[in-house]
Amino acid sequence: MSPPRRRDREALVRPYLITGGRAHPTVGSLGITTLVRAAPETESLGLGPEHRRVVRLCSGGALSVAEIAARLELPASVTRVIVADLLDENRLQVLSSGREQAPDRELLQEVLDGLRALR
Amino acid sequence: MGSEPSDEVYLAPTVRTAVKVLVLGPFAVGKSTFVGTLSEIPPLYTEETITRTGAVADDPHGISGKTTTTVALDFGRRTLNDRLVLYMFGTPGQRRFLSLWEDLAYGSLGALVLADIARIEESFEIIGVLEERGLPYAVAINDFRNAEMPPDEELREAFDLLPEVPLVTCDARERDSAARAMISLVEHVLSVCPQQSQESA
Amino acid sequence: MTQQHPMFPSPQRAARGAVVRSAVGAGLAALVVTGAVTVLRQRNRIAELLRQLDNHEAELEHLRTKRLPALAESLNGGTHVRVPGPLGGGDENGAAESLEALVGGIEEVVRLTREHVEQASRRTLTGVLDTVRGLAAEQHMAVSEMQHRHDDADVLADLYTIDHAGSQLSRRLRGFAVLFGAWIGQQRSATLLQEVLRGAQSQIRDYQRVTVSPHCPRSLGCGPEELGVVTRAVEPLVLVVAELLDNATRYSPPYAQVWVGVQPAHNGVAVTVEDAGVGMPLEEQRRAARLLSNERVPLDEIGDPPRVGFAVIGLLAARYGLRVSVDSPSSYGGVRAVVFVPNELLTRLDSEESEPEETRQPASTVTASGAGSNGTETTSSGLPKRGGRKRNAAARPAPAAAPDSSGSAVGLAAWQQATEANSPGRGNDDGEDGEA
Repeated sequence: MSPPRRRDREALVRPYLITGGRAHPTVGSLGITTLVRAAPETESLGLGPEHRRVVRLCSGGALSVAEIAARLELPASVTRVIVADLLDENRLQVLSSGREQAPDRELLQEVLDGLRALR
Repeated sequence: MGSEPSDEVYLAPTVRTAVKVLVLGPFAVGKSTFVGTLSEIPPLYTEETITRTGAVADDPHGISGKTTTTVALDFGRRTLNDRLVLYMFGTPGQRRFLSLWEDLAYGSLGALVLADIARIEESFEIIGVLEERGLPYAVAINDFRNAEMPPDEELREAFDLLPEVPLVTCDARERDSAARAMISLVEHVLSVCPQQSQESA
Repeated sequence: MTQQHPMFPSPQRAARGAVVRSAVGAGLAALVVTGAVTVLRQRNRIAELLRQLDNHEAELEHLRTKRLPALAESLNGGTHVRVPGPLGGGDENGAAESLEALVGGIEEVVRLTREHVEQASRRTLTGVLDTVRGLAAEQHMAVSEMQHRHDDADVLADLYTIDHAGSQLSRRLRGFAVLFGAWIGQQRSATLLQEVLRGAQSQIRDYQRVTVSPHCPRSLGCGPEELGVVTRAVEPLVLVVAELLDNATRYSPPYAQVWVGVQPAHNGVAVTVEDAGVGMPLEEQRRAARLLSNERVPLDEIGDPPRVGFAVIGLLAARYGLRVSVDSPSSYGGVRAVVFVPNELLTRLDSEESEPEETRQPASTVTASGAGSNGTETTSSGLPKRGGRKRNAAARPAPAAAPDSSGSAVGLAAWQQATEANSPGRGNDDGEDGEA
């Protein structure tokens, strides 16, 4: 039931190595629940291992940044840099409406309806 | 209407909007259970190491046998309709983990605070932090032991809740019960949501 | 041969005298002969002794002027110095042997003393090192942890810098540990070879100049995403490759790339580290070759400033069954270092997602901190009461990282206002409550 977790607490491959020392995502508006998926027919040639894994994971369908981080066992901050890189190269596409924001009444009502339908 | 739990990794291709809710509570209060009950995927962990463990455990020289606590931040999701998905993030909400969930809190709909009736005081600090942050919340007592409950008035007094803050009991293992707790939170959030937003809509 | 001696000239006793004389003569003759032989022998003996004395003196002189200085020099670290043997001079009485034993004795005493001092030094150094390593590890852990906690890119950028410095420090300390004969440190689970190589890459200063080839030979019947290194060899191999990378980046132009590749080899794989530098000077190459073949490096070989790379690599290679060479020219013009990793140190890892679960650490130390202070007050039936609710709306600070609510007016800050404004709310809480 439990998904895989990071193997070593102190990872051998450090975050700065994965991002090439960059901490700032090239796209500023990525939230933890921003939904992305791979652009059609994207190839992962010429990418580093982590970038490649993200493209491969996202070519199956849409996922949130949090899910990508969890499934690939990467820190969320690193995942954001990678996802932003891939968005820049048009290898990934954002599906949700950009920046995370608090929902308005209309959306809240939709959430409520959805939850009520669960019961 | 809600989709059934499955091992499907990916979201439906029509989903365009994600909302998120925090599920906060002290250790072993049932956060993971709660998230797991409502989630359509097996809960995931974004590993957040508070203090770390393991890596030098074999060290015969005893390099750093420091206090090590791993706090997994587990989350799940529930597709609410063909364009909307709800993410639930379970995380300890104490002040010392604040930086951990601060980012999560940003843009989230609100927080559900879980409490154990045998140790409700362990949830007090979380409520304090939420009030400081101005994030709307509801309190749910996870009653997995079917314990005898004090009257509501007394519980509200103990938690020192404003009258409009929902207080519910639930069984985190029961989908219906967990959904009801979540509904009470969203209803509360809706009730305090600014009217001008509605007017302009 | 007989010598006449007019000792008894009396005519009366001529006959007897003749007998006696002849007897005496014979005796005398014998005596004379004997005496002469003895004298001769003594003379020879003296000559012999004088010769031996000369030999001895020469041997002692040789010892004093040649052998002892050479011995001193060799004991002083001059491993290339040859200590000459004794002159040897056809000696039969064992004087040379005892001198030889004396030299052996001196050597032994010096060796034991040195060994003792060396061991004591190693013990001291290891102790000092452990303290430093403990602190460094603690710091590195803290930085690792902060990278998971912080989400602010500016903070993270700084943390990356600190983490990078920490990784280099950790590599240096592990190198010293190897030299001092101490434990290398951190034990890791079996790890993908690719990750080992990238782990090594992250531990050097100019990691951005290094390219680790994603290609891997099919070894042990598995592809690049399954070829792993067994537990005990992970850290040693990381360190060996890191030291080679450090050397390669140090001795090549500051903007030149360094390539890491994996080639198939007989009964294992070969990890290659190639740079586009000018190559190593011959003297440096000899030093490297010598250090690479050492199974033990005396402390005084480390040098000042310490240059430990090749010594560490040599020791690790000997200890873990790796073979390292740095003598082949690189096709990029510089040095090509090759690390042969035998099959015994390789393993097949199932691809990423199926690693065995780590047991979840129960967060037993997570106690309700802060709750205790409220514990004094209770409700009528004894429930603890929370104190200090922030009832003053205006006092509530906006949440950190306040949203810039693009478009929507509904940010957290707006909410908090609303929470206060609409306090009476819908008042159905109790209803919900009772339902459960």
